[in-house]
Amino acid sequence: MTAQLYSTLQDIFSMIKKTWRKRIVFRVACTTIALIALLATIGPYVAPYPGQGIGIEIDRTKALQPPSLEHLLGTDNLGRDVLSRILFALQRAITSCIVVVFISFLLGLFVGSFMALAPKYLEILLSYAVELLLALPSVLLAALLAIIMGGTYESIVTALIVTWFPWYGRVAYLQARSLRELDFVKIPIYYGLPKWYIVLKHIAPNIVAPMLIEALSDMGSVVLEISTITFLFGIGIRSIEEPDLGMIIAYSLRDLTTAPWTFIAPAITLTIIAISFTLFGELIYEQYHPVLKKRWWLWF
Amino acid sequence: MVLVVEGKKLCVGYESEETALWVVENLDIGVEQGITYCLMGESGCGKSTIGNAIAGLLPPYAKTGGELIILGKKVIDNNNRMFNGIRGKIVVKIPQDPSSALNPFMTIGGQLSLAIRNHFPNLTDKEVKEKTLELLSEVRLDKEVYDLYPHQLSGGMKQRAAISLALVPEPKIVVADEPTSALDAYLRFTISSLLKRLQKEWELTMIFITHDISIAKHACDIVSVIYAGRIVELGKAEDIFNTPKHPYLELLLRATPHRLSREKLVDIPGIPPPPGRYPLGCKFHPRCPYVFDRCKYEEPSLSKVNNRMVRCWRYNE
Amino acid sequence: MSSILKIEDLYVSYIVPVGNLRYGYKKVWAVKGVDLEVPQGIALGIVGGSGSGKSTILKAVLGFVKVEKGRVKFKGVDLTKLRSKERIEVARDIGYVPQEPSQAINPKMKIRDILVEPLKPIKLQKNEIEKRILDVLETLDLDPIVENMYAKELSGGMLQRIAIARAIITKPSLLLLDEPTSNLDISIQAQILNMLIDLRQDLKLTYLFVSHDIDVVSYIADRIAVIASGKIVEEGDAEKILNEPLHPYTKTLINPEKITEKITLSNNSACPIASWCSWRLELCLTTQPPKVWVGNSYVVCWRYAEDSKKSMYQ
Repeated sequence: MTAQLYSTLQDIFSMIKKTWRKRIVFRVACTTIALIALLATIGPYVAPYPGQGIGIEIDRTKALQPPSLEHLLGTDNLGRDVLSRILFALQRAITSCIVVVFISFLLGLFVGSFMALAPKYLEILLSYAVELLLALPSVLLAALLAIIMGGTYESIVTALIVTWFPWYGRVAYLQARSLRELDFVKIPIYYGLPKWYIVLKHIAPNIVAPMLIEALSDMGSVVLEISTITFLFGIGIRSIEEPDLGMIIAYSLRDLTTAPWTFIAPAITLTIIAISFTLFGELIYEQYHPVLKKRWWLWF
Repeated sequence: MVLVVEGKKLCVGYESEETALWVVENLDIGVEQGITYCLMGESGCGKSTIGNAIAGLLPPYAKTGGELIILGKKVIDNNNRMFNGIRGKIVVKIPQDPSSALNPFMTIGGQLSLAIRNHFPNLTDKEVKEKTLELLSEVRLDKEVYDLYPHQLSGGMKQRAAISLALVPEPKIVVADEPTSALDAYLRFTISSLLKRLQKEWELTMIFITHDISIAKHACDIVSVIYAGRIVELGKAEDIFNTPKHPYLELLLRATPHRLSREKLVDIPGIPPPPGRYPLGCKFHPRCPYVFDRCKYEEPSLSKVNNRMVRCWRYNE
Repeated sequence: MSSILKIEDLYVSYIVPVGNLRYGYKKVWAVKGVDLEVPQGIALGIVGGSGSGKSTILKAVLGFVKVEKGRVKFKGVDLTKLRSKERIEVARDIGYVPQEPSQAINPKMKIRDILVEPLKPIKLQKNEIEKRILDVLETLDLDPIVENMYAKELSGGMLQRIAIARAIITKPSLLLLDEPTSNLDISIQAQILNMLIDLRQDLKLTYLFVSHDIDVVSYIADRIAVIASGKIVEEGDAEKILNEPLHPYTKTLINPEKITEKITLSNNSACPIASWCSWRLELCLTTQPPKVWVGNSYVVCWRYAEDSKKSMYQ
């Protein structure tokens, strides 16, 4: 098992190395991601005003102050340090995004691979099911689940997993379908090795590497989706004190003209996260499909 | 004797980010007009590289050295390759895998007509169609093939179509890169007979690349055996296959099964050296049963022995 | 000598799309009524061109394709009638060496894990597994160091030997080989062929060998069967077939230099070469020729049939 993991990681690593050498923009994106990861981990510990960051402390007297030496990004409408708010929100955003992508990736990978090995009727049934799930809009589903599950953060995560995993599922299924015709998959089946073994040892390792890159790239979109949902509906936030990028942006709109920094800072953070992750994936993809360098319009 | 293709100290190599290596080093090669010259060897020996060099189909990142002269014109001069007007007109290549030469989205007739119009822009539509049908019959394909797509053809038919495509510009030199390897064993003779006949009728000079000894015997006049990018034996087909001199050729002949003999096959120990890791001295010495000291340090040169050239210390002093 | 494998009246079909999927699908017969008997301890070689159905016969024995009609009896048991659990039991007794080693070996797995796979359902003791792996590597002349290597670090010849090693690790009685040397260089081919001959002797195996190259088949096989368009046209002892071929198609395989025109094989006539054969009779197009036995070989051709038989159909 570890042997497969190792060789898969080697594949991914070589893809990253190659793109790193060739595109400067890629290096920028990678360092940004590293920075984001760092901040997400240690953010809450280095935040200058942790109490305000979490949202417990408020100080209405210091509300809506522009950026200064004390508050590097200013304060929001409840006097909380914007920088600290963002650091806490960042951690939240990244962790939930990792959970969503990780789970949907694994789910999609295994469901898709199993589909290729299943008996014909099951294969057709599951394909239709996956197509159906692909059609669901995540934002509306999240709203629906919020009503059913009671408006917690879990409902957002669940909604997103349900709408994201079919993408990986479909990719995995198509790849698995071509793999199942190869002798090295047919032979273990012939000897009677169980399906879960075939998926784990033969199919998954051979399709995982490019999918993983895509998964990393998708993290950018997932972060945007989570923020969109919290922005629109405020789901999963028990009180306006809790830090969340979507919420912060939503509440900053009221004082947009008087205190633009309350909007700009979180908006830019969100944008940077989304762009870096997405660029990461797209640039690696471009390396392996050189035609896109000349005919950029084929991207669309 | 007019040399149609002449290589002097020709070197071909590839440079990538990781490595730079010469596949062919200091090759001297001379092909006379109107014969079928065979480049024979196993995979990785460099024969395809030589064929591509002659056809002007080396990739841009390849490096060359020495000279290559085709019909008196210098086409390779150190690292400069000047094939404009030669490539695809005077020298053509028939690839190993016919599927890669044929456009899967066009009918055979369509592809041939396109090529003909490209080379002979002044012909009328009627003349183009006539010429296409003529070419199809030259390679013994039925008229019906005109409207068929490549995927509807069998392997042998696809190869014939690829050959007809190669003949459109009425070339002087044809490089056939393993034209029979993708085919079944008995089809190979049909295609090689076809090539033999075409070579005579069209007075072509053919460079025939193969690893199949019976095909080389059947279709070629002069055979050069390539090992590790060098010619190790060169002579007339009937001579060298009947009385092989170089140990590699001798062992190769004894390693080839023949349907009418049950003699035990000799397996040559070891594997051919990859480019960049050629041994010192004679490139074949690690696998040679007749090896002696001199072979390990000094590379023999190609010298004349009776009716052929051999690169082996057992023969030149 | 009993037959370890007896194929009776085998029919296998494929569904292929017609005209770029625009007109639906049609059924194509890959194997039409093939009878084959492989006596124990013998190497039987099936020779034919691409699309002749030779690989399909192997796939039918392995269960990779569905058998439409007919019986495949291995040691007396009809494989087509077995349930999947029982079929897996039999799988250990039939080894398979595929054509393309790079497709037969998972590039992401260590060689050791690949070799162990066929043994997993048997649940052997750990030291027995180790012993078998070392045994099989030694038999195939492979350094034990390859156990921890990956496919891309090894040459074509070594990969093919590993494929053979995997096929024999369950100590089967029958080995099915699908063009095992077609993609290899001459010198490596000689190595593998010699190895296969020694192997058969040492391990007392039976071979069912498929190839388009009659030189290779003649080196290894004791008996040869010639197949064209899904039908066997001649079968017999290798010596006999090679020196005195009877069927016109076999003659062209043995002496391909003598072919003057194209050979056309037809799927529609009873005898696959009817449209090309100079001996053609009316009967050859409509009715399947009988097997005419000469010693312990037979040829499927109307020309050799007794007149009495011919008149039965005319």
